[in-house]
Amino acid sequence: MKADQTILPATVDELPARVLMLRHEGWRLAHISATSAGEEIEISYGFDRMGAYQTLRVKIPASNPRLPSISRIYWAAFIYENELHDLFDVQVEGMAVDFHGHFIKTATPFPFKSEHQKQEGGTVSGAVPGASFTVKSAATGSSAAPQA
Amino acid sequence: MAHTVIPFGPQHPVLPEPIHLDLVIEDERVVEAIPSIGFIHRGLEKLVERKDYHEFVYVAERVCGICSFIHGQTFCHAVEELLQVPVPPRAQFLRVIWGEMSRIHSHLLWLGLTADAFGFEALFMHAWRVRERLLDLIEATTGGRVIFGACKVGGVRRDIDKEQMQVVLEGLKTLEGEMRDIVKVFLDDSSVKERLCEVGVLSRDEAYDLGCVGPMLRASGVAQDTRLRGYAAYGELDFAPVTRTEGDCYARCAVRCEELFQSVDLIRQAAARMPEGEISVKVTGNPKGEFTARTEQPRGEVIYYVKANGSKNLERFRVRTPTFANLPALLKILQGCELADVPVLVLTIDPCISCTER
Repeated sequence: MKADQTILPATVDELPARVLMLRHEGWRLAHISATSAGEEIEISYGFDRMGAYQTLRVKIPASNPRLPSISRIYWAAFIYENELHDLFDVQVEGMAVDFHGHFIKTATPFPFKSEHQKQEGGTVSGAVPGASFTVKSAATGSSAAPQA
Repeated sequence: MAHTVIPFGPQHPVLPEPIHLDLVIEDERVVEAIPSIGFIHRGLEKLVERKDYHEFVYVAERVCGICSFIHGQTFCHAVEELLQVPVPPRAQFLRVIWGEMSRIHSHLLWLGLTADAFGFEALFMHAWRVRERLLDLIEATTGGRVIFGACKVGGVRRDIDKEQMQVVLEGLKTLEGEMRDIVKVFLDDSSVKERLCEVGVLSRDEAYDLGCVGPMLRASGVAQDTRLRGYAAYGELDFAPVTRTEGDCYARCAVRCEELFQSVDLIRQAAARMPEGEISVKVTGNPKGEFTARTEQPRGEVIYYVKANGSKNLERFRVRTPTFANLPALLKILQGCELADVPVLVLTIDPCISCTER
């Protein structure tokens, strides 16, 4: 089970290419999560392939939390990316389906925002009045499921 | 043709919990479904900063009121890995027994709700009547019916002695017969087939590509089951994932039906192979590092990520629930469906919104 704990570091710039490679290798997107770590936010992308598991990790500055979307590679990523936005105020650019802050309705805006983000001041983004969602693209292609 | 938007939920007869869908329809056909959640967002992930890791087991169990035990178990598993705690083998087998009881009660609950969704009220009542028998067994062994409170970091709080185990095995025998009766209706009745067959079809590649988990994935032909990784005592038990290839609502129903009997078999195997010995070990120190734990909930794979800095409070606790992973697939199968099929399609993913909201 320790092999499951493999964490592969990546930069924001190389993220789409690395994710695309994993998709071509037949990995299934298992989850995306964020963790506040002082002046940075760690974004973890978990991938599964018939029981094997690995994490791709990107660190972004808490003062300007921006990321490219991977939802053109894995369409289902839009759901995690909207969550990143609604809970952590991470601006994910180019989401296949963008709810503009209306996906998870919380009483407190961006409830998981770190103290560091708050001190840096302001929000990167916010809910857009009157706009409930935008669909930019559908799934691109299809990665075949590995044979069991 | 003009589009009309029909709001579905958060309050709707087929929804046990609140989720909202804006259904964009053209005549009677759904063109698009737009979800929104957050009606019961509790911020439990954030609560880890205030509760120490022993106390937090109770919080983790309350992530969901249906598969509560496995939530507690997964949290304990993650912390035990960080602390390098050797969990006694007997505790691992007991975790399997209670985990499989959770699966049976969750699947029976789902069968009842699905019967209710397609209008078969008598079948709904039978499914829940049978479920009551299992809840009695859970209560007899843990003291709780849905929140067991049996798991703790380092093992389990309760044991099942020989007499109790005999009661459980006798109870399962009766339960198995009753489950066969209702499963026969779910799988053979023509009116049920009419509502489920060829509805919400998801191909093998689509299910995999959309990140589906659990019965949603296995009903499309992918033999993936996190229990195969052998956590707890699953590595010592014989089983194979239940799969179907049709990928429709009927296949998903059939997978869950067959998993009922698989769980009964796993409980019997665990009871027969469970060694004598301690049920917990003393845990000292505080966790440090990060760990991703994965287990198989009734609805599919759940992912727990924990990060600790050596203090009694974890730095980060993250849950990716199976329902959250299956939401994109729900949106996919809703596209192009008949409006009348929406309740059945929403239920086909076995949605647990409390889990999803955390």
